[in-house]
Amino acid sequence: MDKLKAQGWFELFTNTPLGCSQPDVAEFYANVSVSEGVLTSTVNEVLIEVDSRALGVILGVPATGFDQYVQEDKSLLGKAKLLELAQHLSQQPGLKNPQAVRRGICNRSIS
Amino acid sequence: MQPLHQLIFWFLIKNIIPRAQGCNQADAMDQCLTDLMDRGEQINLPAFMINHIARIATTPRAHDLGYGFLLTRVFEHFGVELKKKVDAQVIDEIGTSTIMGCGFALIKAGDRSEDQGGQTLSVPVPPPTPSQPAASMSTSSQQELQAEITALKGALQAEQELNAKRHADVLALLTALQPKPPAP
Repeated sequence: MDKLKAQGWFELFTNTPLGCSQPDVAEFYANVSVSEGVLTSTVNEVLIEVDSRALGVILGVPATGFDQYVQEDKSLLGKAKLLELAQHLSQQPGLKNPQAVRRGICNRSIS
Repeated sequence: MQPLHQLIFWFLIKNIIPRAQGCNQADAMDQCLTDLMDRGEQINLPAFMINHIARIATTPRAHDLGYGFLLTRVFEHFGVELKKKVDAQVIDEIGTSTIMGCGFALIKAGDRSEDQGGQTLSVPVPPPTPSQPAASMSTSSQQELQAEITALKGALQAEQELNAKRHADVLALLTALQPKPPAP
Protein backbone atom coordinates (compact mmCIF):
# COMPACT_ATOMS: atom_id res chain seq x y z
CA MET A 1 0.00 0.00 0.00
CA ASP A 2 2.81 2.38 0.88
CA LYS A 3 4.49 1.64 -2.44
CA LEU A 4 1.28 2.49 -4.31
CA LYS A 5 0.84 5.68 -2.32
CA ALA A 6 4.44 6.68 -3.02
CA GLN A 7 3.73 6.40 -6.75
CA GLY A 8 0.43 8.27 -6.48
CA TRP A 9 -1.41 5.17 -7.73
CA PHE A 10 -3.30 4.18 -4.61
CA GLU A 11 -6.65 5.71 -5.55
CA LEU A 12 -6.47 4.42 -9.11
CA PHE A 13 -5.76 0.80 -8.23
CA THR A 14 -8.12 0.60 -5.29
CA ASN A 15 -11.10 2.00 -7.17
CA THR A 16 -12.73 -1.42 -7.53
CA PRO A 17 -16.16 -0.23 -8.80
CA LEU A 18 -14.47 0.94 -12.02
CA GLY A 19 -15.36 -2.20 -13.98
CA CYS A 20 -14.43 -3.13 -17.55
CA SER A 21 -16.17 -3.56 -20.89
CA GLN A 22 -14.31 -6.16 -22.96
CA PRO A 23 -16.03 -5.39 -26.31
CA ASP A 24 -15.07 -1.74 -26.01
CA VAL A 25 -11.50 -2.62 -24.98
CA ALA A 26 -11.23 -4.92 -28.02
CA GLU A 27 -12.52 -2.17 -30.31
CA PHE A 28 -10.06 0.27 -28.74
CA TYR A 29 -7.12 -2.05 -29.50
CA ALA A 30 -8.40 -2.79 -33.01
CA ASN A 31 -8.34 0.93 -33.87
CA VAL A 32 -5.38 2.12 -31.81
CA SER A 33 -2.27 3.76 -33.16
CA VAL A 34 0.58 5.58 -31.44
CA SER A 35 2.62 8.26 -33.11
CA GLU A 36 5.21 10.46 -31.40
CA GLY A 37 3.82 9.65 -27.99
CA VAL A 38 0.21 10.41 -28.89
CA LEU A 39 -2.27 7.57 -28.65
CA THR A 40 -5.25 7.67 -30.99
CA SER A 41 -8.19 5.30 -31.23
CA THR A 42 -11.91 5.19 -31.83
CA VAL A 43 -14.49 3.45 -29.65
CA ASN A 44 -18.20 3.54 -30.44
CA GLU A 45 -17.46 6.27 -32.99
CA VAL A 46 -15.87 8.45 -30.31
CA LEU A 47 -12.36 9.68 -31.07
CA ILE A 48 -9.85 9.18 -28.26
CA GLU A 49 -6.59 11.08 -28.49
CA VAL A 50 -4.24 11.43 -25.54
CA ASP A 51 -0.58 11.88 -24.75
CA SER A 52 1.01 10.81 -21.48
CA ARG A 53 0.32 14.14 -19.78
CA ALA A 54 -3.41 14.06 -20.64
CA LEU A 55 -3.62 10.39 -19.72
CA GLY A 56 -2.10 11.18 -16.34
CA VAL A 57 -4.76 13.84 -15.72
CA ILE A 58 -7.56 11.44 -16.72
CA LEU A 59 -6.26 8.64 -14.51
CA GLY A 60 -5.32 10.97 -11.69
CA VAL A 61 -1.69 9.81 -11.55
CA PRO A 62 1.63 11.61 -12.08
CA ALA A 63 2.94 11.70 -15.66
CA THR A 64 6.49 12.19 -14.49
CA GLY A 65 9.41 9.97 -13.58
CA PHE A 66 11.03 6.95 -15.18
CA ASP A 67 9.63 6.39 -18.69
CA GLN A 68 12.36 4.41 -20.45
CA TYR A 69 10.23 1.69 -22.00
CA VAL A 70 12.54 -0.81 -23.67
CA GLN A 71 11.65 -3.83 -25.74
CA GLU A 72 14.49 -5.84 -27.24
CA ASP A 73 17.44 -3.51 -26.81
CA LYS A 74 18.17 -3.89 -23.10
CA SER A 75 21.47 -2.04 -23.49
CA LEU A 76 19.52 1.23 -23.23
CA LEU A 77 19.29 0.57 -19.51
CA GLY A 78 23.06 0.14 -19.16
CA LYS A 79 24.87 -3.14 -18.52
CA ALA A 80 26.30 -2.03 -15.19
CA LYS A 81 22.88 -0.99 -13.94
CA LEU A 82 21.31 -4.25 -15.12
CA LEU A 83 24.02 -6.30 -13.41
CA GLU A 84 23.48 -4.40 -10.18
CA LEU A 85 19.73 -5.00 -10.40
CA ALA A 86 20.12 -8.72 -11.13
CA GLN A 87 22.55 -9.12 -8.23
CA HIS A 88 20.22 -7.26 -5.89
CA LEU A 89 16.94 -8.90 -6.88
CA SER A 90 18.32 -12.42 -7.23
CA GLN A 91 20.27 -12.06 -3.96
CA GLN A 92 23.34 -13.37 -5.78
CA PRO A 93 26.06 -10.71 -5.41
CA GLY A 94 28.55 -12.90 -7.27
CA LEU A 95 26.75 -12.68 -10.62
CA LYS A 96 29.05 -11.66 -13.46
CA ASN A 97 26.44 -10.83 -16.11
CA PRO A 98 22.93 -9.34 -16.11
CA GLN A 99 20.35 -12.09 -16.00
CA ALA A 100 16.60 -12.57 -15.98
CA VAL A 101 15.54 -13.28 -12.43
CA ARG A 102 13.23 -16.10 -11.52
CA ARG A 103 11.70 -16.57 -8.12
CA GLY A 104 14.77 -17.18 -6.03
CA ILE A 105 17.26 -17.95 -8.79
CA CYS A 106 18.70 -16.55 -12.00
CA ASN A 107 18.38 -18.81 -14.99
CA ARG A 108 19.43 -17.15 -18.23
CA SER A 109 21.41 -14.24 -19.57
CA ILE A 110 19.77 -11.09 -20.87
CA SER A 111 20.83 -10.55 -24.47
CA MET B 1 13.71 -12.68 -5.18
CA GLN B 2 12.74 -11.50 -1.76
CA PRO B 3 9.02 -11.78 -0.94
CA LEU B 4 8.38 -8.04 -1.22
CA HIS B 5 10.10 -7.90 -4.61
CA GLN B 6 8.00 -10.82 -5.78
CA LEU B 7 4.85 -9.02 -4.66
CA ILE B 8 5.89 -5.84 -6.48
CA PHE B 9 6.84 -7.85 -9.59
CA TRP B 10 3.45 -9.57 -9.52
CA PHE B 11 1.69 -6.20 -9.27
CA LEU B 12 3.75 -4.82 -12.16
CA ILE B 13 3.02 -7.63 -14.59
CA LYS B 14 -0.67 -7.56 -13.75
CA ASN B 15 -1.14 -3.78 -13.93
CA ILE B 16 1.74 -1.76 -15.32
CA ILE B 17 3.14 -3.94 -18.12
CA PRO B 18 0.45 -6.63 -18.30
CA ARG B 19 1.22 -9.89 -20.04
CA ALA B 20 0.01 -13.44 -20.26
CA GLN B 21 3.40 -15.13 -20.51
CA GLY B 22 6.70 -14.86 -18.70
CA CYS B 23 5.01 -14.19 -15.40
CA ASN B 24 7.59 -16.11 -13.38
CA GLN B 25 10.62 -14.40 -14.86
CA ALA B 26 11.65 -10.78 -14.44
CA ASP B 27 13.46 -9.40 -17.47
CA ALA B 28 15.54 -6.23 -17.49
CA MET B 29 12.52 -3.95 -17.72
CA ASP B 30 10.75 -5.76 -14.89
CA GLN B 31 13.84 -5.59 -12.71
CA CYS B 32 14.15 -1.87 -13.30
CA LEU B 33 10.52 -1.18 -12.41
CA THR B 34 10.59 -3.49 -9.40
CA ASP B 35 13.62 -1.70 -8.04
CA LEU B 36 12.15 1.75 -8.71
CA MET B 37 8.88 0.89 -7.01
CA ASP B 38 10.69 -0.69 -4.07
CA ARG B 39 12.75 2.46 -3.60
CA GLY B 40 9.73 4.74 -4.08
CA GLU B 41 11.10 6.42 -7.19
CA GLN B 42 8.45 7.71 -9.54
CA ILE B 43 7.45 5.61 -12.55
CA ASN B 44 5.66 7.38 -15.39
CA LEU B 45 2.63 5.10 -15.62
CA PRO B 46 0.84 7.03 -18.43
CA ALA B 47 3.97 6.91 -20.62
CA PHE B 48 4.40 3.18 -19.95
CA MET B 49 0.75 2.57 -20.75
CA ILE B 50 0.97 4.31 -24.11
CA ASN B 51 4.17 2.51 -25.07
CA HIS B 52 2.87 -0.86 -23.94
CA ILE B 53 -0.47 -0.39 -25.69
CA ALA B 54 1.46 0.38 -28.88
CA ARG B 55 3.42 -2.82 -28.42
CA ILE B 56 0.29 -4.90 -27.73
CA ALA B 57 -1.35 -3.49 -30.85
CA THR B 58 1.62 -4.16 -33.12
CA THR B 59 3.13 -7.40 -31.86
CA PRO B 60 2.65 -10.37 -34.21
CA ARG B 61 2.27 -12.66 -31.19
CA ALA B 62 -0.96 -13.24 -29.31
CA HIS B 63 -1.18 -10.80 -26.42
CA ASP B 64 -3.73 -10.07 -23.73
CA LEU B 65 -5.58 -6.78 -24.11
CA GLY B 66 -4.31 -5.08 -20.99
CA TYR B 67 -5.42 -2.08 -18.94
CA GLY B 68 -9.13 -2.93 -19.19
CA PHE B 69 -10.08 -1.18 -15.96
CA LEU B 70 -7.88 1.83 -16.60
CA LEU B 71 -9.24 2.22 -20.11
CA THR B 72 -12.75 2.33 -18.64
CA ARG B 73 -11.81 5.58 -16.96
CA VAL B 74 -10.47 6.92 -20.27
CA PHE B 75 -13.63 5.85 -22.08
CA GLU B 76 -15.80 7.54 -19.48
CA HIS B 77 -13.71 10.71 -19.72
CA PHE B 78 -14.33 10.87 -23.47
CA GLY B 79 -18.03 10.09 -23.07
CA VAL B 80 -17.91 6.64 -24.68
CA GLU B 81 -21.08 4.70 -23.99
CA LEU B 82 -19.88 1.33 -22.76
CA LYS B 83 -21.49 -1.74 -24.30
CA LYS B 84 -21.11 -4.33 -21.57
CA LYS B 85 -19.53 -3.18 -18.36
CA VAL B 86 -18.54 -5.88 -15.91
CA ASP B 87 -17.61 -4.87 -12.37
CA ALA B 88 -14.24 -5.81 -11.01
CA GLN B 89 -13.99 -8.92 -8.88
CA VAL B 90 -13.38 -7.76 -5.35
CA ILE B 91 -11.26 -10.08 -3.23
CA ASP B 92 -10.53 -8.11 -0.12
CA GLU B 93 -8.39 -10.65 1.61
CA ILE B 94 -4.95 -12.22 1.52
CA GLY B 95 -5.22 -15.93 0.82
CA THR B 96 -2.86 -18.81 0.19
CA SER B 97 -2.38 -17.75 -3.44
CA THR B 98 -1.11 -14.36 -2.27
CA ILE B 99 1.33 -15.96 0.14
CA MET B 100 2.52 -18.44 -2.52
CA GLY B 101 2.84 -15.53 -4.95
CA CYS B 102 5.35 -14.05 -2.54
CA GLY B 103 7.47 -17.19 -2.77
CA PHE B 104 6.41 -18.97 0.41
CA ALA B 105 5.86 -22.71 0.42
CA LEU B 106 2.79 -23.69 2.39
CA ILE B 107 2.80 -26.74 4.62
CA LYS B 108 -0.01 -28.20 6.64
CA ALA B 109 -0.02 -27.44 10.33
CA GLY B 110 1.79 -30.15 12.28
CA ASP B 111 3.46 -31.59 9.16
CA ARG B 112 7.05 -30.41 9.26
CA SER B 113 8.68 -33.71 8.42
CA GLU B 114 9.51 -32.71 4.83
CA ASP B 115 12.15 -30.12 4.12
CA GLN B 116 10.50 -27.45 2.00
CA GLY B 117 13.84 -25.88 1.06
CA GLY B 118 12.70 -22.35 1.69
CA GLN B 119 10.55 -20.07 3.77
CA THR B 120 7.45 -21.76 5.05
CA LEU B 121 4.24 -20.74 6.68
CA SER B 122 1.80 -23.00 8.46
CA VAL B 123 -1.85 -23.03 7.52
CA PRO B 124 -4.58 -24.75 9.47
CA VAL B 125 -6.07 -27.84 7.91
CA PRO B 126 -9.84 -27.45 7.55
CA PRO B 127 -11.96 -30.18 9.11
CA PRO B 128 -13.65 -32.66 6.79
CA THR B 129 -16.84 -31.33 5.20
CA PRO B 130 -19.87 -32.81 6.94
CA SER B 131 -22.21 -34.86 4.82
CA GLN B 132 -25.35 -33.26 3.46
CA PRO B 133 -28.35 -33.36 5.84
CA ALA B 134 -31.05 -35.85 4.98
CA ALA B 135 -34.24 -34.56 3.40
CA SER B 136 -36.32 -36.02 6.16
CA MET B 137 -34.55 -34.12 8.91
CA SER B 138 -36.60 -33.45 12.00
CA THR B 139 -37.71 -29.95 12.98
CA SER B 140 -35.42 -29.90 16.01
CA SER B 141 -32.44 -30.80 13.84
CA GLN B 142 -33.34 -28.05 11.45
CA GLN B 143 -33.52 -25.58 14.31
CA GLU B 144 -30.13 -26.71 15.55
CA LEU B 145 -28.71 -26.25 12.08
CA GLN B 146 -30.32 -22.84 11.81
CA ALA B 147 -28.68 -21.80 15.08
CA GLU B 148 -25.38 -23.16 13.82
CA ILE B 149 -25.73 -21.20 10.58
CA THR B 150 -26.43 -18.03 12.55
CA ALA B 151 -23.35 -18.63 14.67
CA LEU B 152 -21.27 -19.30 11.58
CA LYS B 153 -22.49 -16.08 9.96
CA GLY B 154 -21.39 -14.20 13.05
CA ALA B 155 -17.99 -15.86 12.95
CA LEU B 156 -17.68 -15.12 9.23
CA GLN B 157 -18.43 -11.45 9.81
CA ALA B 158 -15.83 -11.31 12.55
CA GLU B 159 -13.33 -13.01 10.26
CA GLN B 160 -14.01 -10.52 7.49
CA GLU B 161 -13.46 -7.66 9.89
CA LEU B 162 -10.10 -9.15 10.79
CA ASN B 163 -9.03 -9.35 7.14
CA ALA B 164 -8.26 -5.65 6.89
CA LYS B 165 -5.95 -5.94 9.87
CA ARG B 166 -4.36 -9.08 8.40
CA HIS B 167 -3.57 -7.17 5.23
CA ALA B 168 -1.48 -4.71 7.17
CA ASP B 169 0.09 -7.41 9.33
CA VAL B 170 1.17 -9.59 6.41
CA LEU B 171 2.57 -6.67 4.46
CA ALA B 172 4.46 -5.54 7.55
CA LEU B 173 5.80 -9.08 7.94
CA LEU B 174 6.95 -9.21 4.32
CA THR B 175 8.66 -5.88 4.72
CA ALA B 176 10.34 -7.01 7.92
CA LEU B 177 11.67 -10.13 6.18
CA GLN B 178 13.76 -8.04 3.86
CA PRO B 179 17.39 -8.06 4.92
CA LYS B 180 18.58 -4.65 5.98
CA PRO B 181 21.54 -3.22 4.01
CA PRO B 182 24.80 -3.38 5.89
CA ALA B 183 25.88 -0.22 7.62
CA PRO B 184 28.50 1.71 5.61
